[in-house]
Amino acid sequence: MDLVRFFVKRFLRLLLTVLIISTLIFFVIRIIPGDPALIIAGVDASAEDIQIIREKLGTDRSLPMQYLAWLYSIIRFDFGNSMISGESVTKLIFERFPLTLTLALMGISIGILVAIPLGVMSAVKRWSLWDYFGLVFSQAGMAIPSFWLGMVLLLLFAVKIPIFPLFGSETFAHYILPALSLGFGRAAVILRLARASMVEELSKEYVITARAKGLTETMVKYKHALKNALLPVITITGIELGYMLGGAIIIEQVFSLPGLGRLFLFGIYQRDFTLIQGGVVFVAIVFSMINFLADILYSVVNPKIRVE
Amino acid sequence: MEHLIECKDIIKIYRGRGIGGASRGFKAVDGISLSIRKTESYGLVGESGCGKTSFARSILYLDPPSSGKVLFDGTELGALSRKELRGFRKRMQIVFQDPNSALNPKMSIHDSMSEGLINRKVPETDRVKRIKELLELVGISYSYRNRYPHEFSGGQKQRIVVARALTMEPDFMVLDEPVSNLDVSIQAQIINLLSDLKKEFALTYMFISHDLNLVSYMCDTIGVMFKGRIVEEAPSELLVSSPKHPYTRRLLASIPGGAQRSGAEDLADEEESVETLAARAGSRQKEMKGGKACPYYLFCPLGDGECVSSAPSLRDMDGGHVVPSGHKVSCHKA
Amino acid sequence: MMAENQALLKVENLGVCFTHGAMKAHALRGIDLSFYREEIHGLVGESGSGKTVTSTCIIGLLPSPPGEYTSGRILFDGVDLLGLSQAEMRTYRGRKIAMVFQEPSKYLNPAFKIGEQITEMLKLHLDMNKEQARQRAIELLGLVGLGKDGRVLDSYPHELSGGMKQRAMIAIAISCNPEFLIADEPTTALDVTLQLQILRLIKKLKDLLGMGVLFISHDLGVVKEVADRVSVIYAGRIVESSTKGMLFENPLHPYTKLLMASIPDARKRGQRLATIPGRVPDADATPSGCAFHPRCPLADERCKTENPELKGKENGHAAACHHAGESWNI
Repeated sequence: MDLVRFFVKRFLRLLLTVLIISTLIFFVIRIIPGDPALIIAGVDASAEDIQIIREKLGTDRSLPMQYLAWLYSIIRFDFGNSMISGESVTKLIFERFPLTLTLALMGISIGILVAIPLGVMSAVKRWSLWDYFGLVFSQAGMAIPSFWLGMVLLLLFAVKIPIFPLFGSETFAHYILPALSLGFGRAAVILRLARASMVEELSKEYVITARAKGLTETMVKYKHALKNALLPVITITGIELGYMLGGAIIIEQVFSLPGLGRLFLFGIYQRDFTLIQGGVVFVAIVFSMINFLADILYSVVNPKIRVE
Repeated sequence: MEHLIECKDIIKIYRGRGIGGASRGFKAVDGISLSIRKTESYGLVGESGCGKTSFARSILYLDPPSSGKVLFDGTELGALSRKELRGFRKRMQIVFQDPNSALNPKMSIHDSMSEGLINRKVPETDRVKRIKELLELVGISYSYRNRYPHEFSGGQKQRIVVARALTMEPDFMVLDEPVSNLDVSIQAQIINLLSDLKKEFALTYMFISHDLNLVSYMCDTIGVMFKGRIVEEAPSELLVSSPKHPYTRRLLASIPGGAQRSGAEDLADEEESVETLAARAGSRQKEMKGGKACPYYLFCPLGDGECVSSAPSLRDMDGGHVVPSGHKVSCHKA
Repeated sequence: MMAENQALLKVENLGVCFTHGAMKAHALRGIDLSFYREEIHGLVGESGSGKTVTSTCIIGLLPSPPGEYTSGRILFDGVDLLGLSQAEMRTYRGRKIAMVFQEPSKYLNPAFKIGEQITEMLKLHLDMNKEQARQRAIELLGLVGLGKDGRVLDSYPHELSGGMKQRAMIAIAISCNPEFLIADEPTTALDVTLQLQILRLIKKLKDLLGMGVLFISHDLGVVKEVADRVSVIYAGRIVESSTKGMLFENPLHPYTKLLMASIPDARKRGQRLATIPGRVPDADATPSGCAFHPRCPLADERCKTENPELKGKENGHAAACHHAGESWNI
């Protein structure tokens, strides 16, 4: 009962976020000087041509009507056609999205697989070699920009020692270096959190209870404390995955991968307004969905949040 | 005797948080009327969550009541402007349970105590004199004035908090569990100090506590709170020797060590298992759906149909005596 | 009660010191305590007196460093617990010696259902399978008054009230039929009406399971309610020890006397409460001689230099005071 109410509440919040972003982008695009119809038509176009383009874009209608039409199009998940190529924006996005998503998921997997065990071990064996290694790792991860790391990795492992392919997106191997450069920085954040969270949980009173029950240290740490320690990590991992989509856009440039990032960048160069506004709303939806899923996962694992 | 505090039908509702605002408010104080005479000690007893602290905050206008009137020395606080209220507020001080959170850790105790005096534009020479007097009165050497809170023990901090409250020259002090955080051997020191200060400055106290032993020692009148209401009010001796409300009797019977178990029934239901109690409470919860029932009906060994159909109100128990005893009970079965 | 009986657990001359840098805090300075089956032994003291350190030592969880044993033994069934390895100690902890803590909301793991928190012990110590453990857990819940249907097994701690949580905590502690139970201020965090219920539950279980119980409290009233035998601890030493009846009727140590006199109640209305001047000394600055002498109304020169022994055990009422039993005008 509580759980259902919680889900509904979170889902409504998701819708609200998308609505606000859609509204913002709608008005921002219209505040920017310059009539899109003029840009599309070019300098030599006649007044009639421009009028036709306006009708096609819908910019000849009143602002409230345009706004309603815009919202309606979002509900149908139809962002119109690209002003440049004339193709459906939705279709363009869905062609490119799998690549970006794969990259982000691989990045976060590296983050989780490396950072959580390392963070937990750092906490359990505080001030040990493990811990110092974790510290150096997280400092480096936070200090090194992902695009720089990407270039260094390319240079080292695709040019100097050609273990990995240089450009392209055909095989799994193509994704490894970009995912590494993407995951490294985020792993640092997750590691920090996992360590702090585990250190905190190990000092909680229920750990004393667990010991007083005669449980082995393994059970005390990796059953009792770890479950509690992982709760905040789930939330942050969700948020990190969202950020990773943003990070992927830059990494796609470094590795010349044809993902969403390249698509949107292209749209911006070309002043393809329909593509830009569709892209922004799409990213907002994906970002909110990820947070929504992380919240749900968190509440399933942590029974306490439901009542709070 | 003249009343310093008169409260009429104080209600305090806390609004629930959350998106949508669907959650209902929580009624922490549910219609309390009481009066405190000048230089009286009034004890407010109840278990955690009964609304003692909410009530105190309400009548001091730290957290104004949702409805109801508070008269302080004849002036209605709710009718005052903010500025006027500030003037009154210095006459009412509150001391909390935890002296650690009451004192700013970054301020020396001299600075902590000066603040109020500076606000009142007391000249420096008077200020220093006053702080010196008060610190020595509460048993803290004036030579410690430049120390910081962490350099003092819990008992000493509570003394400093009391001294700081006194810099405002209050008439009325609310003491909210002032000794609960202190060691047993320190509690008596603070209690004696509070008694001395009361005489010295002709103070009026409202003493909030869960400890009936303590309140029955300290206070002239005791009000027993349950779920935001006063269920029984009487002069201290009378309340302890002949409690009328089943909840008061239960509280008295629960005092460990059995110090005051005489005069209170030894509750048979203590022997009942929690599940029997829970089952009874469960079935009664359904009966109480209308919202008219006596709130204690859920746990009451005496309750019947009358208690479901109407909540009792606080009534005098004098029954024809010439001199009113001041014993009031809110129970159909008393 | 039955002094001729073999003690279930004996603490002998136990000394514990905590080292923080150059500071040495002698938390326990040679304490003796005997615990018998079917008897609740109340240990009364103020914060910093060493009562919790005592329980930590008995259950074998003294953090070391900074803590270290300076003297003594803890004998359980003839075995010195202090000589055991951590692995050996684990076969006692939870199995033979169990513990209930002060704040059930903090000492229960928020992320596991009550059922799991009980059954994991049964599986570990008693080699029960899942089904046996669940059946036993349902029995245990009935025993502590949490219902016979085992519904609470599937609850998380935060879904229970404070009193129910403490009952669950007790169910966990008694799950393996321990011979010795340590209850460290088990009712301090509870409301008065619940407090009495929990105290009665502990008494009932003590009889039912024949456990010896160490009951730690700062509250003389609570100890009077629940204990059969009482020891008073001050600054890491036992200052008085006797049966409840003798101790409360005729306290011998001035500290005990003053503690009793300083508790307010309706009968003392209008009188000043007796007070103990000053405060409990820090463990790194225990006064010389009798640690209580700076606060004691009876102290003389001898008290400043000579630490009194705990005398009078043979009469069943021991006190560590050069002026034991002397009266003065409180």
